[in-house]
Amino acid sequence: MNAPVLEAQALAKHYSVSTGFLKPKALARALDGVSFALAAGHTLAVVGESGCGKSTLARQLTMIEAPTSGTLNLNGADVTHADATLKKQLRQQVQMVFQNPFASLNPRKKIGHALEEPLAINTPLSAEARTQKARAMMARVGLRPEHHARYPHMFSGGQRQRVAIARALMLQPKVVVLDEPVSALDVSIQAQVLNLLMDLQDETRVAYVFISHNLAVVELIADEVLVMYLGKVVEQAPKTTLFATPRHPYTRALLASTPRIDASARQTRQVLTGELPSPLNPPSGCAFHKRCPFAVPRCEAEVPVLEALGGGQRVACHRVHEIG
Amino acid sequence: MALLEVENLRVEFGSEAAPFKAVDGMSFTLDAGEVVGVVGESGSGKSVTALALMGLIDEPGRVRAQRLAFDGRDLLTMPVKERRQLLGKDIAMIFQDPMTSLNPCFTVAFQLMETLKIHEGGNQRELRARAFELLRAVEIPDAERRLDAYPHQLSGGMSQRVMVAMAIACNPRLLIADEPTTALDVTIQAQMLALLLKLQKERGMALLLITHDLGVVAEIAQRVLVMYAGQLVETAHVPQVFDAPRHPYTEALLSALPEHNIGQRRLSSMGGVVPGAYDRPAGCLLAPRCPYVQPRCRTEQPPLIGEPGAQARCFYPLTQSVAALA
Repeated sequence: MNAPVLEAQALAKHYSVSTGFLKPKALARALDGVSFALAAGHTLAVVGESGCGKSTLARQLTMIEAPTSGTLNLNGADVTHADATLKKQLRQQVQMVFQNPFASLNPRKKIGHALEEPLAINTPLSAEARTQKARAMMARVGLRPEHHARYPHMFSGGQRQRVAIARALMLQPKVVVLDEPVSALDVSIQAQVLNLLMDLQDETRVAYVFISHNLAVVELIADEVLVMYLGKVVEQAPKTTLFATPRHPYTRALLASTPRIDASARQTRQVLTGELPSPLNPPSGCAFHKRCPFAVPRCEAEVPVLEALGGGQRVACHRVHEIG
Repeated sequence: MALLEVENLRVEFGSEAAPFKAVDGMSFTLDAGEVVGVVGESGSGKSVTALALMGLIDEPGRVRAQRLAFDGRDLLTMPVKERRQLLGKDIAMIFQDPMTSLNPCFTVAFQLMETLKIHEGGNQRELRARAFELLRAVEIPDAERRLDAYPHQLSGGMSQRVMVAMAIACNPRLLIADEPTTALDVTIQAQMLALLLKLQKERGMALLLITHDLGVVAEIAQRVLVMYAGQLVETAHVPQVFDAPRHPYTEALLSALPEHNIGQRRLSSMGGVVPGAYDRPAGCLLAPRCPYVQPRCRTEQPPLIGEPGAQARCFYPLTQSVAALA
């Protein structure tokens, strides 16, 4: 693989949370030791349920927050120790698309303004050049020229998501973090937006960090998948390996829980009991042991570490060899 | 006789002269103990159909139907008081967002007991015991303690279980579930679907499941109604509709799913969007987007064609190959 454009080493983010007046602060380990490398033109999918740290990871990658520990390298530059000037430059190279296109566009600004704003802030381009660039980008994402002077409320959800994607690409970033970009859209619109994302990646070699809970979408678009549970990576593998031979019990449960149309693809439904525990009060040992059908006493006592299984697959489970 | 009979249901908003047809001539029946899925994209009229059945469409919305009957009794002509007694007792509904469907000011026990008190009566202790039983029935762990919890103390999955408990409190014969799992995580969704199916079997309820997730329908429904822009475009039994869809819209929905496109570089997708209030086509509503469109489709509205139980609103249903026509 060529040099990674984005690389994280043991990235962690802990929040201290107030539990009440005069009570000691609790520590929420929202993100705990996440490592990955992402090459240009590739897609890393981050999968997990709400509260697993997906969005916290997105906030670290886009430099909205600084991680508690660990390092983050963007295009060879160390983000975590960068000074303000370097950070400003680096921020242009990582852009983000949010889940809800109805909330992520300013209702009082025209689409053209939304697209030109990143250029106005970060480049010395003239107003005319900015408009020209915005129109060119609109054509690329499948918006019509007359949309330039319209307001967000005049667009459908799919079109708004196209605007959000166009805005993220205005500065020609190296990495785009997509936080559930299609989960608010209908199936047919979802297909259009996913096609657009894949086309744009082919054209520009941009790398995607694709955060999603929809495994069917992930199976289509990802190159590599991170499965997260309560702030930790429980399994990490190339897409084909993960979907063919999932090794962690949680990954298997996720795959089995996904409703399938094709009856033959449907796995015997192994419904997980219980819910995701609170990150303020995580279970001892393996965070998954209370819901895991394979749990043994050791899982309660000892935290499993990510173990390489070959073929780029890494799994954090004590019993991975026994359960096959 | 069918438990629920709906014939030519219309729900309109706006002026009489140029109304917006949210539901446009919907007809279907539902037998006792049957699980039927309603699928369609946003704006297709799924939820409005459910709200019309529940009598929850307020002025200035207009609900009209040739027949809207539950258990042989016409819901539209019966006195309001009588209809009010049916709702929540014989016909119950679960909504999409559990967090906003519960009243944040009252405990779980209070809200469950309220339903029971209105429809069945009893003293406080009996009601509380019944509420406890209901929470046990929906498999809420530590049910005794949860009785006195407020909605903000519950997780999303737990709140949805409370909503289900409230809905089944009076042993309804028809449960309408509007996107009951959309707001939930996938492992919780699996739990919720298993629970709904279990309760449906135990109690012999009919279940009308509204969802945009075709996978959910494929797994739990027996029959499917596919809606597009307020119209019923296809109805069929589950394996049939997924293996051999007859309406081009159903086919397009299925082929847009990522799981049908694994290994391909691009998803097949239908261009265009659902028609709005002002650009409803004169002919078939799908005509502007349909890949098989013929001249006749643009001028004439197709009726539902086929034998009852397997109908499609299309002049050229997909089994009669369109290629042969051209």
